[in-house]
Amino acid sequence: MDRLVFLLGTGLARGAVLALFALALVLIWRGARVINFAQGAMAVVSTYVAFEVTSLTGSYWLGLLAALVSGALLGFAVERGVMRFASPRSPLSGVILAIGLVMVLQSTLGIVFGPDYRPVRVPFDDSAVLVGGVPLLSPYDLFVLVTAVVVMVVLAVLFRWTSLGLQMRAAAFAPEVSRLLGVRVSRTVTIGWVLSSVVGSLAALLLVPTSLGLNPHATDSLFVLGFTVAVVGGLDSPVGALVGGVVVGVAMSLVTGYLGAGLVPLAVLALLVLVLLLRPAGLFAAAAARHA
Amino acid sequence: MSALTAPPREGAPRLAVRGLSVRFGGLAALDDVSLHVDEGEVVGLIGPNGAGKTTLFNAVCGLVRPSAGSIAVGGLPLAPDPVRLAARGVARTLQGLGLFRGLTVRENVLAGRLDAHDPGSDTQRQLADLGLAEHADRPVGDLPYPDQKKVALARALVAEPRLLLLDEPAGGLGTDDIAALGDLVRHTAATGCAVLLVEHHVDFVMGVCDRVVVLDFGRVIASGTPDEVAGDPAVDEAYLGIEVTAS
Repeated sequence: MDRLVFLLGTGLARGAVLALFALALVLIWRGARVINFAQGAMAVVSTYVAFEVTSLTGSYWLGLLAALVSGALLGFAVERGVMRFASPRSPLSGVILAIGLVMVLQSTLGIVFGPDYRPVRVPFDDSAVLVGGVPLLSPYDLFVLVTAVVVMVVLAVLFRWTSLGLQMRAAAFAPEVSRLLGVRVSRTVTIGWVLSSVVGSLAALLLVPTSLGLNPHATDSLFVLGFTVAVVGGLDSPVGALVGGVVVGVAMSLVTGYLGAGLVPLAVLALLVLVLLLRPAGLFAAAAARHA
Repeated sequence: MSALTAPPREGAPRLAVRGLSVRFGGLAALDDVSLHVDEGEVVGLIGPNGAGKTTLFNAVCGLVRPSAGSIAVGGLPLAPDPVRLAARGVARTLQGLGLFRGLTVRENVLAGRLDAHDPGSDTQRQLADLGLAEHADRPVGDLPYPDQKKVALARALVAEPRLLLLDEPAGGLGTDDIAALGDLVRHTAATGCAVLLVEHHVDFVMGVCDRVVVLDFGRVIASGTPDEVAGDPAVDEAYLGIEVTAS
């Protein structure tokens, strides 16, 4: 029982990161109808920036800030400089541009920083806190969870209760009509990319300390898992990304704890296949069409 | 956004189209069309399918580029940029409604009032006026078609436009709804809004419009009061005769 509680707690923190990353994918899918295969590579660039800033200044928080700022700039640059030129008639052209971007970004990081894994300092204690003798969450897990929840609440408020959020959602549904109503659609698309890139960078920054360390490919598995979460939840649904993230995170944690870490990729793929067979549009796709 | 709102010039018509021509390749969709709509006036644009009615709307909205001629709103030339329309006080409904299907009724109407600081109360009032208040938080796609049409109309009206372009507002509506629509259009004009509407429903056009402009093959073949136009033999031949026997 103690073990189960511990595994659920860690799974929740892990799932929160996956949910954030999936949310970044959902944001771009909704805003620009592109699956951003470069999300992971963009996020790892920001994480390197954070790493460098933290080693120069000694402050984790300045590094975090640098990751968010560089994520925003990168999102802006990628949309205005690359993705804007994807043909709207071919969904593949955006995907191919994104994959090209992955190669360019990861190779550049490899040239500049080398291929070695660099250990990343954790800003908090990483060992689990005992609550009544039961190991629960580590302070870092708690930090990750709280951060993820705050980001999600901020995004929910932005999309549901602000004019900018309404414009972004309207532009995603019907760009031509939105223009007639005065929405500057190219601006809302850019803002979508900036937001998404910031959220993706944050997810990577939160994940890297709990993984092997920083490396140009440090977010490869995060992308695969985040993509799985987004598909499981429904690419159109932020709520789906949230629930999907928690489901996949907890499932991974339980499989690791009871069956062995080697089975995790298999379990995640089994879940993906199951969802694609039963609800190809994702668990929350119908709900999203009605409530989003 | 209000800084972009140009003050209308005194005495100038709300919409003045002069010598407008639009070509798609070798085809002249509009050929030297001139018309105007004054404050508080309802003008109907009729003509057979393909006569260029929607093309004229699209040109006014900056969706197609004219090859010749000018379009002025409130006496000032219109920039060929759809994004600036709302700021100039122009609102439009579309034949396909163009609603945001995943958004609620309230959100759809709010989207018509993006420049306002407190759009909530205007939206609420507009929804109540059109009897949509009880559906405000339902996704717009769940509503029956006549109610969806009302939402599209509410989205245009909530902006309190100075010029309202209605593309087939009566299409798909039943007799009662058409009568209510006629009252609404007259009421909107009575507040000083200029209304230009494209419509196939002849009785509706004749009943609600102050003036009617008839297009055929991209040219104005007749214009005047509903009575004058209805008595014009050229109109009977091009349009009304065909429509009357068909219906």
